[in-house]
Amino acid sequence: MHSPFTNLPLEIFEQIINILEPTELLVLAKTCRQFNALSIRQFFLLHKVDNPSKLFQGTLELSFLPREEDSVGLELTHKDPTTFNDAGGNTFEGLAVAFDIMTIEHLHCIIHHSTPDPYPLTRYLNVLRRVIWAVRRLQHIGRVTLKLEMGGYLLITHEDERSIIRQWKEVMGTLLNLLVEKGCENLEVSHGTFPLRPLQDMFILNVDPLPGRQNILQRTKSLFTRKSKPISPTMKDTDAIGTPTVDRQAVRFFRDSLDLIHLSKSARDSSRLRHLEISSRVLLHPPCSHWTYSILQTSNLTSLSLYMIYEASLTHMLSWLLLPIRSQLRELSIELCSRLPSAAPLIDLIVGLRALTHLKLADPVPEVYGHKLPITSKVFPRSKNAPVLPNLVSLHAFSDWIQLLCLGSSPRPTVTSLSLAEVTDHTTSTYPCSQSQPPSRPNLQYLYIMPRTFREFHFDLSFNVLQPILESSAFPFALSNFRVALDLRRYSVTHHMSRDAIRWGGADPRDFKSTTPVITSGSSAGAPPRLRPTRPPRKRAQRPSGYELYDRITELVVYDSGFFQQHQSKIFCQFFSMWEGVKRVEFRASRWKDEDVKVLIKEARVCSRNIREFVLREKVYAVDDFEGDGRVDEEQI
Amino acid sequence: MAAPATQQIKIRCNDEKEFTVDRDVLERSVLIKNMLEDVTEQQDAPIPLPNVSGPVMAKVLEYCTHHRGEPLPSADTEQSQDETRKRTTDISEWDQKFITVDQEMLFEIILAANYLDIKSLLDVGCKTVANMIKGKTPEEIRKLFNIVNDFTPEEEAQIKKENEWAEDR
Repeated sequence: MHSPFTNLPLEIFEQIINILEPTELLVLAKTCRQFNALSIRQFFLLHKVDNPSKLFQGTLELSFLPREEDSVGLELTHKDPTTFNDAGGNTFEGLAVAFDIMTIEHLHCIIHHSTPDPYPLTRYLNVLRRVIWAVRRLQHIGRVTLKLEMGGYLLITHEDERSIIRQWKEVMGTLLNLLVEKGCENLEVSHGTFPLRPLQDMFILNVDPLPGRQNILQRTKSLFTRKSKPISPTMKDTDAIGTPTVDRQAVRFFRDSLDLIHLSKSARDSSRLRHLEISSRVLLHPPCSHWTYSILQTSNLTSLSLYMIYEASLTHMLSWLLLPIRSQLRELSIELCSRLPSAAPLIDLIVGLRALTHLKLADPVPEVYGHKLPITSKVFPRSKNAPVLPNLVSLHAFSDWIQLLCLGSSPRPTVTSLSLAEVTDHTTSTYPCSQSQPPSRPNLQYLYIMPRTFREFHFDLSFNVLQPILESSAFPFALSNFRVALDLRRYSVTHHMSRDAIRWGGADPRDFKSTTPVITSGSSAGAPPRLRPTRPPRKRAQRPSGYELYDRITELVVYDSGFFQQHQSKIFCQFFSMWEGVKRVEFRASRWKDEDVKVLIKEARVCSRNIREFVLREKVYAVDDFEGDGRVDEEQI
Repeated sequence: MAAPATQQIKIRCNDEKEFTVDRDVLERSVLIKNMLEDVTEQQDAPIPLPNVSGPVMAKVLEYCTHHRGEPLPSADTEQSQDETRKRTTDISEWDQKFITVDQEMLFEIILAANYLDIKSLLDVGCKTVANMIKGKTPEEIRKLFNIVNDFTPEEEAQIKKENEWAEDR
């Protein structure tokens, strides 16, 4: 195939695209690689001339696909893999030109990882170098979302180790420092997808570039094996953890032994970073975690989120955090990917952060570690004078942790929002925290002794678990916002209607109000008083008195892993006729279709007047949009 | 320029075809103009133009003959013209008619104009190509210019995404 157009000399081609409008350039960019490179470059040059600031107000979203070395680019002259030119989107070429006169509010940058043929890591790092190169030209950058899809690179061959570690350190260190120097206030670094199998601590265990690896490992591990016995699920209350005894020498040795990424002085001095979010296992390996530790000590950082942390990374990470922190950290989110060998470092960390107001401890895979965390009320050193986390306002954790943080010290009048990390009682069936507790129930004792300042309570509990709480006269009645999980699979129409399946609340509202809330002991709270059931309602109009209790439920989460079945709409409607307060329903039903949801929306509109919106897979259906179809006469209600 | 305006110059193309042209017509080409200035004495040997073929040269000469006598753009005016010319694709009626040729010829003319350094002709050629691109989809452009789509499906999806934000300014 012969195309005289593509064979034109560069200067003529440039003259042609010089005439084109920006939109036409973008069309031309889609024709082939050669034109893509040239047109995109021209596109940015054009904007620089016309209106430089216009283009990059707001979010700038970039994605890079590392390309083959022979891809056409204007400045493709070098074949040396360590230069900038062999990889990276040509888009960035043009951007770099346009960059030096601009500030960027939000740089959203995705660096793709190619399947099925992964690029060499060097090429991937070169893309990062390009980002650095361009960011350096900026005057200011406000917020950065950096998404690195590099799962494939975890399989690094042994020969590469030294140079990879060196390069990785150099590139990541430069980039992180640079972003902070440029005034970044909000930094989110994450991996894209990666397999959830345990990766053996890639940088430390497998790729440790230094001699004496075993030695380092042992010393590191010794940081976390306390004088007390290793904690196990069978641990008794008497095995309380004492004051942390950190082997400072080991810490120092560990720190000095690794090639760490340091926070540059200029970055530290100029840091305006307020929010740091890292969700990656690789990025939290010790070289980077040291950087994170350093940035924690800057005065502006108030919010830290660490997600998808692999066990080893976290323990290493926490080893830095154990060092004195004068952080003003107010928000902390930690999501673990696997279980900790010991909860102690995490507890030490939390106790140390006294300014904390928002704490989130969760695990995307609860069964991985939830039941393994040996939490007792004695884990925290009980201090009579200074409660743990004196400023805590919002807490999201597993019930054990909640109990721990709320009971472990003094009563918590400051906490106003609680959120339970357990998903439903039947999906996480293994959650025993003591022998006396039924295994399928999260420990909710703390609910009965919580102070009345509570305003919000979120949990994805099934109705069965919630019901006794709701009906309990000891329940703090200041609570108003509930989120309740409902698994439709568990109910058939008849089942649902029978008294055994669900005891429709027969609590006398007067009874409820007259009861002075008492701080009950754990044993009685574990089995809250259950009230006699009354006849089940068939229609909304027949709802007996006493159902006001359920009006506190404002949010509903519906689970169903199967396909939608017609009879489920009837069940659904029954629930709705009970719960008048529900304003929002979220369907976590993976196989439902839009039409199925619409059926339910119709039903719900019959049963409830308050319902405002439905959500299926992040798509919001506002009820007002369904005006006209399915609307029911008011008289019927 | 010592030579009289009516001086006849011989040129020879790469396919051995020779043309005898008035000097002022040929001087539309900055390349030939400079050549002629370098050569002081009269030469009978034709000027070899190894990059241009006979049919293309005939076309180019047709253009030069029509525009003979017009002032050549100097370096200064070229600069200012650059500003105004930008993204205007107006072509005069005669030029438009002149350039209505098949694609092969069009690019040959552009290449020849570039080689011979005939600015105005190069402009006309470039504008014509730009006009051909305008208002077309990438697929249409590929078809029109016989461009091979060498993106991998992955890249194509990528580019689509890449450009979305740019289009939505």
